[in-house]
Amino acid sequence: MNNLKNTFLALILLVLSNTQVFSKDMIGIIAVGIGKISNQSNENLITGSKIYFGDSIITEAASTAQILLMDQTTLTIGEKSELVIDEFVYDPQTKIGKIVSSVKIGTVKIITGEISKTNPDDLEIKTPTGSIGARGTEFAVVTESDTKSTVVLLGPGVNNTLGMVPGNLRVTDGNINIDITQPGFQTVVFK
Amino acid sequence: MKKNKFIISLLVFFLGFNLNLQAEITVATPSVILTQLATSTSFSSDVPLDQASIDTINETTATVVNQEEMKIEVEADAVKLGEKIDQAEKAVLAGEEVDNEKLLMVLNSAKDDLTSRLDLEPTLGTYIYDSGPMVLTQNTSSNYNQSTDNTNMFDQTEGAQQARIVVYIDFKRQVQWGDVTSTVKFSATSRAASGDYNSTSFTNTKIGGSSRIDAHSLSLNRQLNTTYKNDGTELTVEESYSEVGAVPPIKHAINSLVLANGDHAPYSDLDVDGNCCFKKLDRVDMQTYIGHDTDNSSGPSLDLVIDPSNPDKANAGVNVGALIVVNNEAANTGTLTASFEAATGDNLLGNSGTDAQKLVGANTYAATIIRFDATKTVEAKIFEGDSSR
Repeated sequence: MNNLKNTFLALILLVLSNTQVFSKDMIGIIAVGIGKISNQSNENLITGSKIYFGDSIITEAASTAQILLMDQTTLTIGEKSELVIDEFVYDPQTKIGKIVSSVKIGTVKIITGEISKTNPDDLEIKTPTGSIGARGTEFAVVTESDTKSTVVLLGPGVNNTLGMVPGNLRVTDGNINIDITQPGFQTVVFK
Repeated sequence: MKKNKFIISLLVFFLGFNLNLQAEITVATPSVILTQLATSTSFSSDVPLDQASIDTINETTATVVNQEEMKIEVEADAVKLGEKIDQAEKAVLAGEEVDNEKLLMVLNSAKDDLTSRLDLEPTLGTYIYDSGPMVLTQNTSSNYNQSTDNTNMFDQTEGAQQARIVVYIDFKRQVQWGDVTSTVKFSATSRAASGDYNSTSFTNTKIGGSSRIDAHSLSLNRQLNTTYKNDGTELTVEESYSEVGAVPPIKHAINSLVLANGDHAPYSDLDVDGNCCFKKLDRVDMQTYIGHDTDNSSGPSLDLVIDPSNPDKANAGVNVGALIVVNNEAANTGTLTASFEAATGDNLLGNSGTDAQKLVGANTYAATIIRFDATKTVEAKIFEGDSSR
């Protein structure tokens, strides 16, 4: 019994220590901040404010924030929204990393960066009703409540003339996967 | 008692499982929330940035965005697209500061970058004229096949000669382009049977470079012509031994090496508008490359590998033509014509003598041309996006 307890404690410590590795690292910046924006500690964020691992970004009415992460992923947060950076690991040399972010409520538009370019499976956006995997693309998530989220693929299209990788989203509610490959199409995830 | 407990646990488990299954996800449909997205993220600030914020942004974005790296990426993308890009353009795309005059030049140059492009894709609203597969049959007009000296080089079996033309007109970007896929099959009873041809049939897709359109050019016909050598490969300008190359210069209403009156298509030092374009030497080249003369006893003969020092040898290739005529100003319909042409005449005809003698010789050669063609009038389809994926 004691052995089990020790193992459990060791696991907790291991998880905590791994988290600590990133907790003080700056992972991005508010490139544009308009209106009232704050973090989980109720500190005001403005244009130029640094974003750290684990931060929540909360916008009030008539407010918007554009966040540029270190891997050049761009997150545009609409009014009355809340976004949490759950996980961010990035090696600028190899351009390998992982991003996990949660849209708790409101509207967030995402333009993927280097991490997704290197390995598309390493970008995951969570909502209260499901999660989204994205491949080289621009998309938006609108979480209206804990029971409804809408995901829209914005681009680029299959035959885009810029030679860009066509957008591809895989949205799942935990049981069923829906792929969106056509820009301007959406899926709604209910719970 | 234990049994009841087990059943209750099982029920609770299944209830929980079913509740989870009640989550629902809809199939992908056209979005109805784009306006909501735009509204939610579109606000303007009336608070000016202070210097500290500006410094922080500059410092951080300089770390995040490596301008040198981005310039390399911009250049690599340009190469991928077949575009030339100068240093000023790279600087603009990499976000470097440039003076406004240079920026204006870059923006202006971008307006013209859709000419001669081979990689254009339709955008929403592009008109697409697609002939679908067409079977070409022999044109029996008296202007063609007047020579009785040689066997028809084309396989006359129904369905042997096929082509498909697709033309795109993008009114928003004021550009049009197209391509033609052709399958040419030589007759088994002609020289193909004796193995003289390097290839008895070949299929090619010729992608036409894009060209600008305007209100005046749309109603005119547009043509795409290619000469294929007897082995099925496209004749290049470099392989020609005249100044311009033996790429057929056909630019008249019926898109044939033979005019409607039976004369050969005009080749001269000056074209009909007085502009220099396709030289007489190009006609000589054309005759060599599409010549299938089989008179081996005297005069010219087939030589499947053309030697510039022996212009009397014919290559036995084929001229493949595509023509589109947009039928009305609304551009709702277009008439597409595909044609294959080759000749049985002596390819030296019209190569020497006075100008008058050359004209007679060229017309004599033109009369030996055999033409297969097919014409279809199609309704333009308006591109609404790729729904195939």
